[in-house]
Parts: sequence; structure tokens; C-alpha cells
Amino acid sequence: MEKFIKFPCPNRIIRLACLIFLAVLYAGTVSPINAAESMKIKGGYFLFSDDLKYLYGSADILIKSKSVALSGDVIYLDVERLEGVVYGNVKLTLLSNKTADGKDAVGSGTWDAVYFNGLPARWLKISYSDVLHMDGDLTLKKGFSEFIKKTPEMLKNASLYYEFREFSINTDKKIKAKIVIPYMMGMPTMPLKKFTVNRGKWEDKTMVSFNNVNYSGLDGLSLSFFARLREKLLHGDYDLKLYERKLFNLDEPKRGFLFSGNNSFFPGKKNTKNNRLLSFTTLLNSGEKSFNLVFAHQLEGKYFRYALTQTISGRRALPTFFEFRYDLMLKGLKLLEPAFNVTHNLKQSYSYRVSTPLKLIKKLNLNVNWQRKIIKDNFLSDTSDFSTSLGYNASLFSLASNYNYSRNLLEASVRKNFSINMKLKPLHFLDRSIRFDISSVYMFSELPYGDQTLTRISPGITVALRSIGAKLPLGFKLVPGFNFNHLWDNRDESFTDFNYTLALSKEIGNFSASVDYALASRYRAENFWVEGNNRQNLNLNFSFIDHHNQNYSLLLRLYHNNQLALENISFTGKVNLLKDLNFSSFLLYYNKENKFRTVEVFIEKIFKKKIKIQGGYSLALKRFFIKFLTQ
Amino acid sequence: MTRLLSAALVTTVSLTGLGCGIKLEQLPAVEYPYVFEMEFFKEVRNDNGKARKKKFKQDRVTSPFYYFLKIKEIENSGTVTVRFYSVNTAQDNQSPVKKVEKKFAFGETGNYYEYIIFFDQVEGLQPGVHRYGIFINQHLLYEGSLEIFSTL
Repeated sequence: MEKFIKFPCPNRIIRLACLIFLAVLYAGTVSPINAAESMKIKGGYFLFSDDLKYLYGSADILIKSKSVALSGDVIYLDVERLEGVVYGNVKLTLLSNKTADGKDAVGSGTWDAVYFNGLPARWLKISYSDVLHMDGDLTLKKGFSEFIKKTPEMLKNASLYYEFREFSINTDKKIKAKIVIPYMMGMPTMPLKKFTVNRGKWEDKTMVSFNNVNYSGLDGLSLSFFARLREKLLHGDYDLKLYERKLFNLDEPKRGFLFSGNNSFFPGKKNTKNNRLLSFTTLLNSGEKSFNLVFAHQLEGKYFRYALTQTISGRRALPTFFEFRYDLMLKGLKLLEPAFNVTHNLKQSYSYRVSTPLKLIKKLNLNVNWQRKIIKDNFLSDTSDFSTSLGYNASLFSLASNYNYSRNLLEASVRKNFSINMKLKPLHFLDRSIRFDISSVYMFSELPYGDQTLTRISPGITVALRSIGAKLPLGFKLVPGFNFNHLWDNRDESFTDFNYTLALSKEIGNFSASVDYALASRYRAENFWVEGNNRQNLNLNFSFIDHHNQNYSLLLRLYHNNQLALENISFTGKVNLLKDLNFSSFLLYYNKENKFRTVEVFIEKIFKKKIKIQGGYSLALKRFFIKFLTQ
Repeated sequence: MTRLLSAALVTTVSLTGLGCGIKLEQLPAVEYPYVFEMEFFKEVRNDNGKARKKKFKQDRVTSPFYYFLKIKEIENSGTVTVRFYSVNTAQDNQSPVKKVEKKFAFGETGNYYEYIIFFDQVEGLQPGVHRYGIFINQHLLYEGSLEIFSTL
């Protein structure tokens, strides 16, 4: 008997997404307005862009606040900054004898422009006669001259915008409007009698939002949602991604979800980065059939800080992993900051570690650690590690060193490592055109090797010479570089490296061409003679880029191998065909095999700065493809 | 009614059907002109009804220059006035003084224009920051600032 799986049709998914969206919109309408301070504005036409948080209005504008009534022809209002300007035959009438900052108000009259800022608003009045005269709060002059005006066309480019005739705005930047037509992706939707078109401050409010929808022939269809929980006893942020692949005949997994969430129980003012009563993070992946849960409790006192963490993770066909971790750090001591750490897998394996940075000298970063790790699983292991690290940053050089001593307590074997690296501060010549770097290294290791001990000592030196280049006749530029590296070794593996680079370039307007040459040589001393080998490569680069308007960008590269024969060719191109319509291509040609390794050609169109549609052909995938992406 | 937004037309049908109680005349509609574009060029000329514009290098405006003004949703006849005021940055307390004024008569009574373009050359402004105002029938419609980097 065949088994049928009933899968909800796409119409239902779309209906569900719409319902969630409308629920969020409805939640916006029912939220009460903060009655602290508000401004009521009427007019013939208002346009609010949800993306830009900006409003434009025109025709018979009438603004009324607690202290002032204002009428004019045009208004530009930056909602985020709560500042705006009214143009036209602007009549300003004072309703109160006091200004926003408590001073005596004067200045009812008619002006060409009135700029306002904040709520309660401060006002600057401007008249454009034979002289440009300003009156009112003159501290607003800078804000007025720098105020940016956005045209209705710019506002209509938003993925979501609203048209209405009347609204109120309060100190929380919440805009509640009447007779509203919402536009989604440029299309008008149902007109509404009352609607909150901007919720204002809502960082700490519970909400659900639709994030994006993507479709591609390779990955299938996906919907992403975001939710935020801000309740008295629980704060949480959640991401949910649903995907469908079976409908598009794609490989496993057919369909599934990815969920991640962070929860914080009993949140409060004391809930900080190092102070959490109980937090809980979740990661669920239905495709991989895996999960990861982390419970944590952290507390920071005056003299100590501790954290308890329990991790539980699992994946199909693998045993569940448990780990309990305890961290304790002591604070307030003068020269050291000891930390104690224990991990346990809730079976028989555990480790404990003591570490401390030593604050002996301010510039000296000295850390000391000791750890014992006991594993009793499929094998037995008991190791004791002691390590120190030292860093020193002086005016002429910097120093970094590490020492590690590891003792296997079961086998009684010892491993030792020591390294020290000293870098001289770079030297600059010819007005910082040439940079000279010298660094030296010393490495020592002692490892058990059967019944013997293998010891390796390797001192080395590196010298690098870099230049910003020199200008040559006819507008050419030459940039040379040199690197020398020598390593001595007590096991007869000493070698010397020489690396040279040379770049020659020329720019003519938007076109530039360059030749990059690199030669790497390595020499080894073998008894009485020296053996060496070289590798070289050459790249030719040609680019044609519209740096100013970014209408096109074409880049051609030719790679040559060690014999300076042509190895492969790559080409990347992007051209703006029309408004928000781009043509892109990527080609990689292997000259030796005489074939294209990949060819990707596609056209990309961006709608309302939110939806990206890509369609084209990929030789690597051997198929035509189409992608819908939302940003 | 020709200027009612398409949105209003599209939604009117559904309004009566849904019984929202919203009347057609209550819907927001653009009834006032607005400045769509005010840009500054090295040269603007009328080439058989098409505006040919020559940009400044790196958009650094030098004097003399042309301004190119496009006003949308405009009807009837009237006057558009463009004024430039010089701002003396050396003396902050001194009010900017009107330096240039140009009046354009446009349109015919009863006609509606999707947009009207105005352009003219401005001479005599010194390097520095200047403010300009655009008036339609003596009412300020838009204003802004302009920096002139040098004079020829």
C-alpha cells in the first residue's frame, strides 16, 4: 500500500503568513498612545516611509501641540530624529505664554518656513525676503541648515509605506493615523480607518515578525520569522526558519525547520552579562536531526564570579553528549586573578584547571595555568599540563613566548614545548614609502619517541621589505617586495627562503592594467653543497570599473604557471542595464584542459530595495536557475 | 479628480463592498506640487525638448553654474521664483543677503502638468556656502543649501 503524506498547500502557508502579519499590524493599532506629549497634524496628504522613518505632507497642513498652532503648505518630518520643517505661508500662533524650556514665548506671526525640533518642540522661524532672516530659538540654526529633505519618490521606494490625511505623533515617535492606505511592495492594500503606522520605541516589547522569504532552485523555498518575548519573568529572542525542498524535487532533507532561541528567566535590572539567574539557549535542526541545549547560571559578587553551565547536545545515530562546567574566579587580589574550572561529562571523565594572569609588571602579560584531565571512556587517560605565556610590548620590540610542560601520569612520559618570538618595531624610510620588518624566533620541543626522547631546536630569522611603489615615466607604477626567511635546525633540516614580488601597473581613467610577478626560492644545505628550487608565477590583471557611478565593473585575470605558460583565465563582470537591473557573469577557463571550468551568467533585479530576483545559467550546476531573495 | 492616486481608484471598489464607511473624498490625495529634483550642473541646454546636462567633476560646483529644477504634480498657471542668498561664514551673526532672483511664469488655467522643468544659469556667486529658496506663487515650496568651491 502506498503511503501518502499530506502536506499543506502553498496557499495555506501564504494565508498563515498573512494572518501573522495582520496580527502584528493589529497589535500595533490596539496599543494605547503614550499621552505624555503629542502633536496632532492634519492635511490633504501625508506619506510615511516605514523603511526610512520619514514623513512628507502637503496641502493645508495644520499642526497643533500644547503650546503652538501652526499652518502651512508642505511638511518634511524626520521621525527618528523628531525634527521637521514646514514651508509655505506659515502662520504660527502661540497657545501658551511659555516656550518648551520654560521661557516667555513671543513671536506669533507669518513666516516662509518654520523648523522645529523635539517634543515639546523648539522653533526656528525663517523669512526669505531681501535678507534671510531667522527668529526664535537660534541654537537650531545648524540643525535647520543640515536638515535633509526626502522627496515622495524616495519615500515610495520603501517596501512598506502609508498614505493618510491625519495623524498624531508623540515623544516615543509613535504615529497613530486616520484614513490610512498601507502600500506593500508598492501595491495598495485595504484602507483602514485608524492605524498605528509607526510603533515608536518598542525594543522591550513582545513581538512576532516575518523576516524574509527566499527561493532558489538549489535550496528550495524558505520562510524566516523572528519573535521577541519581553514578559515579567521571561525574556527571549527566537529565530525560526521553515524550508521546503521536496516540492522542487530536491535531495534530502525534504522539508524541515531550524530554530534558535535565547531565554533569560527572572530578568531584571541586575541581569547583566556576568549576572544571570538562569539563561537557556536552544538550537534545533530537523534536517540534521540534532539539538543543542545550554542552561547557565552566573553570578558576580565583589570578590568572586562564578558560572554553572550544563550543555546537552545530540544528533541522530550518535550518543547524547552531556557536559557540566563550573567556573570560579576570585577578584580583588593585588597581583593575581586566580580562576578555577571543572568540567565533568556526568560519567567518569572530568578535568580541573587552575589558571591566573600575574600582574607583576604592567607591560608584562604573564599567565600561568595548570590542568589535570582524566578521561575514563573507551580509553584511559590522565594528563597533567603546566603552561605559561608571556607577552611584552616595548617601544622598540614586542615579545611573545610560551612554555608547555605536559606529563602523562599513566605512562610517566613528558612533553615539553617552548617558543619565543621577538619582533622589532618596523623601520620606515623615504617618508614611509619603504617598510622594513625584522623578527626572530626560537623554538624548542622535546617529545617521547619510543624509548627515546626526540629533541628539536630551531632558531630562525625573518626579514621583510615592503614598498608603496615608485612612479615611472608614462604613468606606470612599480611596487617591489622582498622577504627573507632562514631557519636553523639541529636535525639537519635548515633552510633559507627568498621571496620576491614585483607589480607593474598603469591606470587610464576607469581602466587599469597590472602585471604581478612572484618568485619563491628555497635552499637547503646538504653536506658540502646547497640544493635549491624555485617557483614563480605571473598574473596579468585588467579591470574596467566605474568608480564614480558604479554602473559597471569588469575584471579579467590571466594566471601563468611556473613555466610562465598560461594556466587559466577568469573573468568577473557586472553591468547596470537599467534601474536596479544588473547583468553579472563569472567565467573560469582552464587553458591546459582547453575547457570552461565554470560559467555563471545571470540577471538580477531588485524591487523596492527588498526583493532580489536572480535568473541565469550555471555551468558548474549544469542548469538554469532562478532565485528569489529578500533582504 | 485626474490626480487622485491610483490607490484610491483601486480601493474605492472594495470600499463600498466592505462597507468600511470611508468616503472617496476622505482618502489622501496629492493636491499640492512638490520639488522632485533640484540639481546643479556645469551646463544645461534644451536639445529638441530633451535636457542635456553636463556634470561637474566630482560634483564640486563652480561658479557660474546652472540649476535644474523639476516640480511635479503642478496645475493651472502661476509663477515660480528661485532665489539665492549668500551666507557669509566669516561673520556668523550677519543675515544672508539675496544675491540672485529669477522668476518663471508657467502653465495655463485649468491645465494639469505631471511635471515642469525650470533651468537657468547663475553668475556672480562667490565661493562659499549659499542658501536657495524655491517659491510657487510667493509661497515657499522648498529650500536648501549649496556650496560653491571656486569661480572661473
